[in-house]
Amino acid sequence: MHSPTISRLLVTFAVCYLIFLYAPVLLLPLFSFNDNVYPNFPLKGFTLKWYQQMLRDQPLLDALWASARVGIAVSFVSTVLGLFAAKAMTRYSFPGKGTITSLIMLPLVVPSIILGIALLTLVRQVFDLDLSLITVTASHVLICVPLAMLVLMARLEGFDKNLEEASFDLGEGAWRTFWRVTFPLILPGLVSSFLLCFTTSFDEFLLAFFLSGTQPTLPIYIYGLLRFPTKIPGVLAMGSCILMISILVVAFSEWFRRRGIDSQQGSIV
Amino acid sequence: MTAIGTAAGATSRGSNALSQLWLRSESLRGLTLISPTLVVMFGMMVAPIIVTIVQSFWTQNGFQFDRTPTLGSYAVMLGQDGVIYWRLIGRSLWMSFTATVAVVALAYPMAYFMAFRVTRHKLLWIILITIPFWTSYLLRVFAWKVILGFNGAINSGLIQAGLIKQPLEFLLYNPTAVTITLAHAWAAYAILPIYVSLEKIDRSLLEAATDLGDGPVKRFLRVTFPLSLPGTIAAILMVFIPTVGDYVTPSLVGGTDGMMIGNSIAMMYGRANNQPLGAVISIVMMLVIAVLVGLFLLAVGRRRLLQKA
Amino acid sequence: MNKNELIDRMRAGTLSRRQFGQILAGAGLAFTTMGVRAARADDQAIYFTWSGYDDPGFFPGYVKKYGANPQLPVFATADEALTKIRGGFQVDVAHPCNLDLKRWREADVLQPIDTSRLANWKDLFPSLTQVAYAQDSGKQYFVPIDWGNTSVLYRPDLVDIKEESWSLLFDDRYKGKLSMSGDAADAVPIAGIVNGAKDPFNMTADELAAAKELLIKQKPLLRFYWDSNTTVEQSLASGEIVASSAWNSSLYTLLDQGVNAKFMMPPKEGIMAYVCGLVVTKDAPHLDKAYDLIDAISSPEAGVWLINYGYGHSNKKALELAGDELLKKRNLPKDPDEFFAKCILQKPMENVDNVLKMFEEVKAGA
Repeated sequence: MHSPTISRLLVTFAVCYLIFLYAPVLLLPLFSFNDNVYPNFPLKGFTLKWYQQMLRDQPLLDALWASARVGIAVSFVSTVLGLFAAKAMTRYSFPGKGTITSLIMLPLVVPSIILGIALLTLVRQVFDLDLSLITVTASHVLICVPLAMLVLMARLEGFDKNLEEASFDLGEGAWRTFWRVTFPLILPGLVSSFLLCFTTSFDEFLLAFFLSGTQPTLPIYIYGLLRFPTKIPGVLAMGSCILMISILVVAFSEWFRRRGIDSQQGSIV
Repeated sequence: MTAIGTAAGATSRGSNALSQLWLRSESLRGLTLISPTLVVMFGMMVAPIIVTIVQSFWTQNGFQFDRTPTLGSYAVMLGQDGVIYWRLIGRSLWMSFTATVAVVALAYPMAYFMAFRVTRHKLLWIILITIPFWTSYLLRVFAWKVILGFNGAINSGLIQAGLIKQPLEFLLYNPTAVTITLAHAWAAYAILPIYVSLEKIDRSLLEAATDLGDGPVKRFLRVTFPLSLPGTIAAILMVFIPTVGDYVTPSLVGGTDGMMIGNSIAMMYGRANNQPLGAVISIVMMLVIAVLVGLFLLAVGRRRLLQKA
Repeated sequence: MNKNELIDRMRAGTLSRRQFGQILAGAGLAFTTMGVRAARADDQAIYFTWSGYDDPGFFPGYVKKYGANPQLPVFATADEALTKIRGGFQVDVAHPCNLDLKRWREADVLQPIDTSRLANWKDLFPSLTQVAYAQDSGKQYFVPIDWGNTSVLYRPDLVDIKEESWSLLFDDRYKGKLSMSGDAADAVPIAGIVNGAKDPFNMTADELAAAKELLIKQKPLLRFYWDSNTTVEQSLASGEIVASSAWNSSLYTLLDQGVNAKFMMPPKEGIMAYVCGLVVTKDAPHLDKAYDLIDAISSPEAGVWLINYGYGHSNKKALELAGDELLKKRNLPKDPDEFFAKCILQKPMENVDNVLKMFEEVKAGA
């Protein structure tokens, strides 16, 4: 059924594509250990001093912590809001579902720069608020809620409504049903939503650029440094650390997922 | 401990009665459930856009705004002075188009490989695809500068191997570099939707096609590809629309032709001090994108109708 | 309820909705206060300056007095800085350049500086303290600190020129190996200078049109428009480009790396100069510390550090402390007054909107 030439071509392609994906990314750790301010070849020598510089760079660490705080807050709020929306969409029928879906998905189809300036105008001209991490968080929630809703809808559609109905029939209230039946089953979906929102927010640059105040987020700080690259090796060290940590987080969440209650075979996330 | 336990029990009995009441009005419950999300999204999405539209009718003098409604900025956009913005919109659309084609064309075979050729550890492959995107987007663009640069990886590698004497200059600071960088940046966002679509295809359909005499190529064109369209279209839209407004990547690797419409809008809100004109440009940009996307979906929809016939 | 009980309850599913809500509220509150507390942790003056100037060498006196650095947010362009300040970003002292002063003054974000509180005021060169828009009806808004030149930085081993002139940047013999500042405030006056405009910072419509043509002709010769001097330094060092507009400090970075580089001093048509300095914002939260910071930055010791970096300093005692040898190494005169007399001092452009628009059109591909 499968032609062997096509199979071989596909395998070669897949390998080349993986190299294409990883080459730039692997350069980051490579140059973070290189004893040279400029990330050029030839390599000069092994050193840990950039990692030391990174740990001493207080503004860099502040920006990292700011991004982490924003990311966690955004993931939390977006997942909760996404959950409400997903539950409503999959479990209830009510008028205007199509319009409501379009409205919630709207931020995904508007370029960030337009969202950024529109929100900036709203915050500064209409409400006359100061820009801060809170305004950044709000803007990130805007683009993460649609993602959370999509992920959770996929999850909620996948399992049996009867389980919830059975719980109601047995006398449990809505809250208890959610907590004892629905929540454990959708936990993998919640975790995926959380991770997806966190990654999106943590790495988001344009919206944060327009809506941040005194404290920059990590992407904004990195952008500032990219144009003055003498501090780049410290940033490369930071990027490599983030890469390392995220590999560990993904490995952990995968292990957690296998341990948890998962009734679906071959699920995608 | 007991007191709290009773209180919890009482709450559940109380809400039980309420639940029975709720059960009778499904629409009401549904709408109430979704209302917090709706309110937030409405407030943060629609309100800003309305404000932007209102602002497009103002004039800005220095740092002050004159709020009397006027079509002045629209006149600029449609007049001689506005030509530059149309040109930049065109350039941004073209950049986005080439990047989208590149990303999706490369992502599709990879997604196909993962859906059909990988039998075990599918999740591992998905993770493999997404790990590179756990690094900062800006750092990835910077990494491409290092790869494609004058004494970057490719050039120094080729020189050391003795294949060239002088570094290749066409690798960086041109639209091709922008396309390559963007093709890398959006890879995961393109692969995943296509993969999900391909994965959902009922394998028995493929078997049926083979049994009816289709070769692998024909089977792909007649069965696999059409069924993967939802995911492919999602991928195309997810890459194309945000990229139109991206000015960071072109400014870092695009060279002298790296200026995009995003730069202009950002300048209107910054140094050029002309937010109403910036608002007009943004509105025009949104309309252009909406029209293009609409035409695209129409074209795709019509083809599917024809295929069914 | 302690942590273990909480986990047991969650497992048993006996956590009530109210309790859960309380936990969420507590977590949310913790997050917000976390942010607020962190912001108050540092009570030092806020010095908003150029990326690279956030080094303690520039303000040793402040570190000595307070035992800590000031808070050091940085910016890449003065426009970005102004946008942030207008957006509510709170700083005490900011570091714009004289060509930004008009816009910053118009934005109404500055407060006058009480020069009687400044320790080093009397030692600052008058030609610098009195640049356009620095003063207004007896009030001083700007304390000059660093001054330098914009000129052509090039590789004499890679180019063959008969005389030092701005026209090297427009020479089609070196197509694809040139670079130009991407900032209209630099690029447009340079084109004006090459065309012989009377006042490159206030060009007539005809002069602007001529400048635009020149810039359009230049674009295919450029490898890129630069927005960071480190990009220029790296590209010149590797030979990727052979000439570019640049500032003095780049020359010394290259020479320190052993690269054969020259800075046109002056090019035939005249060398551009600028002065940057300190301003105090209207609602500066740490005003007393701000004055100490200005004293530290304008002190002779800080001046010597700046001169080592490659730029001139506004304090005449700093030039004396640096000594003739260092001044010669850095090509800095002892008296900036006579220096500025021979330079084309960059100043705010009157018709800035037209200039910006024109350069935008060049970049957009007219």
